[in-house]
This record gives sequence, C-alpha cells and structure tokens, in this order.
Amino acid sequence: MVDLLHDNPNALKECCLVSKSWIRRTRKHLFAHVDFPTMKQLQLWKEMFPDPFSSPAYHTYTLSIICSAELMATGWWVGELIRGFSRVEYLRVAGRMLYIDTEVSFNLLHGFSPVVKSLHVDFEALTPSRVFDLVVSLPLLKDLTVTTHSEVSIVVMQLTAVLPPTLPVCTGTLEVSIQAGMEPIARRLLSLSSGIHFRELTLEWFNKEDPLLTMALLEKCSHTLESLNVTCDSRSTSIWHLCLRR
Amino acid sequence: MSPVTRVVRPFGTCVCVDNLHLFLVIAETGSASISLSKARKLKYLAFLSEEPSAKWIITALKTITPGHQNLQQISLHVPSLPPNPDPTINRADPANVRHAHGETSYRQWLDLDHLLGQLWESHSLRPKVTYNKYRDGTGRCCVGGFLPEVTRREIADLVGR
Repeated sequence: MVDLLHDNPNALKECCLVSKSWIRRTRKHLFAHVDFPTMKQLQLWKEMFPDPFSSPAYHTYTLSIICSAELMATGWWVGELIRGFSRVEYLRVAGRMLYIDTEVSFNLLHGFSPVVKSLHVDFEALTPSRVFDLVVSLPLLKDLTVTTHSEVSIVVMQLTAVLPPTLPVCTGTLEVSIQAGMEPIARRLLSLSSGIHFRELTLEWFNKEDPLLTMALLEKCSHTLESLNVTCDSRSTSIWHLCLRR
Repeated sequence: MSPVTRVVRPFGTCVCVDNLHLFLVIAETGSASISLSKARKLKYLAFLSEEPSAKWIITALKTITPGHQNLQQISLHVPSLPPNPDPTINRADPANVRHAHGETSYRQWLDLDHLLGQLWESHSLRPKVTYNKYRDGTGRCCVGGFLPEVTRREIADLVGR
C-alpha cells in the first residue's frame, strides 16, 4: 500500500504515524529526491539526522545541491553529511554568483556515492578542471550535463587531480551548453584514456571552436552515437561564418 | 608558486598571474564541417539555429550515406523573416527569403530544400521543421519561403514554437 502512495508525500507522512514498521518503507519514497537549495536546509538536515549513516539519506536516489561560497568554506561536517547519500544515482550541483574570487572545489562530492550515473553541473561561471575532477571520480557515470550562464569560464591550471584507476564509462548523454565555449570540458573528455561512448550529444555552440570540438566528439563517439542535437547560438553565427570562409 | 587563473571569454583569453593581466586573442580555427559518415547508428539529428546560413547543415546532411539505415528523424529550424507591415505580401514566396537574407542564404536554403527531398526519397526521412510563431499567424507560411519543395510535396512535419 505504501508503494502505491509513492507520489503522495502527505499520505506517506500519515503512513509514518500508523506503525513503526511502516517507516522504513515510507522513507524510501519520501527521501527518494532530496534538494538542498540553501545552506540552511543542510543545517536543518544535520540537526534532524546527526548520524549521516543512519539517516534517510540511504534512500536518496536524486540529490540536488546548490553550492555557495559559504558551503564550500564549511568544511568537514558537510562532507560527512554528504557521505551518507551513498546510493545517489542522479546528482545535480548548481551554483550562482561564483566567480574568480570564489574558486569552487567539488572535493566534498568526490566518490561520495559510487553509483552516480548522471551528473548535472549548472553554474553561473565554470571551473572546468574542478568539474572534470568530479567527473572522473564517478566510475559509473553515464550521463553528463554541463551548463553555464556566463561568458566567463574559470580555468585553474596545473591543479587537476591525478586520474583514478577506474574512469567513467560515459555511455549515455552528453549535454554541453557553456557560453564561454565547450573547449575546457570537451578537451578533457576527449583525452580520457578509457574513451567516451556517448549515445546522445546535445551541444550548444557559442564559440568559434565549438564546431571543431563537436567534430572531435562526434568522431570519438561515432560507433555508439544515436542522437546528435546541435543548437547554434545566434551570437556565434558571425564566428561560424568566419570558420566557413577560411 | 601562485596558481595561474585563466579566464576564457568567447572572443579571447585573459590570463591573470597575480595582478598581471594579459589579453590574448584566440587564433582562428580554420574551416569546419560536421561529417556523419562514421556515425552509422544515428537515429535522430537536430540542427537548430536562427542563423540564415544553412551551409553547415547542408555539409552535414550530405555526409549521410545509404549505410545510415537507422536514421529516423531530422529536425531543422527555419529562421525568422523580418516583420512586414504590408499584409498583402506573400510570406511563402521564396523571393522574400532572398530579399531578407541575401542571395547566398537563399541559394543555400534552396539546396537544403532539394537535399531534404532527396533524403525523403532515399531514406524515407520525413523532416521535422520548426518555425517561429508570429502573432498574425504567418509563421507557418515562412517555411514555404525557405523550403518550397518540401512544403509543396508535404514531406515535412511543421511545428510552431
């Protein structure tokens, strides 16, 4: 009966009050999707569930975290809390207002759930080396979405971590929409020794190098690719003309 | 040693070393074209742009071979025509495309139109063509201006957005 109520959170909460034996089954649905839109939500979670390993985080399948400078500076307890989400398969990390002076590290998220299959990174401005470090820390990663909304990309050079022995399989969807150009992410993916085997490429061109990188990605995925979706941003069209004329 | 931060912008690269800022212009990358010849498992293709030039789409579609047996759908977007206050103007007239976007773009769209007709015959591919909806409801007519043969033969699914 509890399973039949999976999409009715209020009814599930009522079920928790019926019997202790129903709680575990109810939690599976109530905590399947967890969203931490602010630091405050994380703090509330910590107060409610002080032991991360006995918390309902075990039931979470989809986790969404909005990163902030405050969160990144918080340190160990956030890391401990996130480790409790050991069965997350879909991870969304988003951030706003993060610029050069707030270089974002995703170390807190490295390998926290060994079964992450889908990663969505959505930032105002991007730190590609950090995103890539996160990508390679997820060995079962199939789908990757990287979105930015700023024309600025932050590249911290020579600080990329050593690659782990098991690299992601990358057999699902790659979706890239980076206003500063897809180069920093695409080049790193192309350099993966395990190769990339995406079945779907959804790429948005903003930069004159993006068509060339699309070709390279297409070449690498040519044996598995089933869907190619290219959107050419109107602001980049003059650049595209330049490329064609040469 | 202090870390080196590079800020990449679409039209150049700014390298910041401590307080020193250098602006470097990214070199031209040369011509590019998408080749689909090796991607034999392709099922869906979508090229969406408001850009009047269709050359990059034609270049890609020309690389489709008889080996692409799984290909099921091609999606394209027809760019807008500038608003015209004269209601008697037939927006489905290809001459409008020539007038609005120039002879080169006009020729490219005619080539693309012809190519889509060929793909319909060779691969039974029925393209999905999206267009911008106008308040006066003439958006759909514009498709006829860009793709006259496809529209006349009714071999495309037209979708307003």
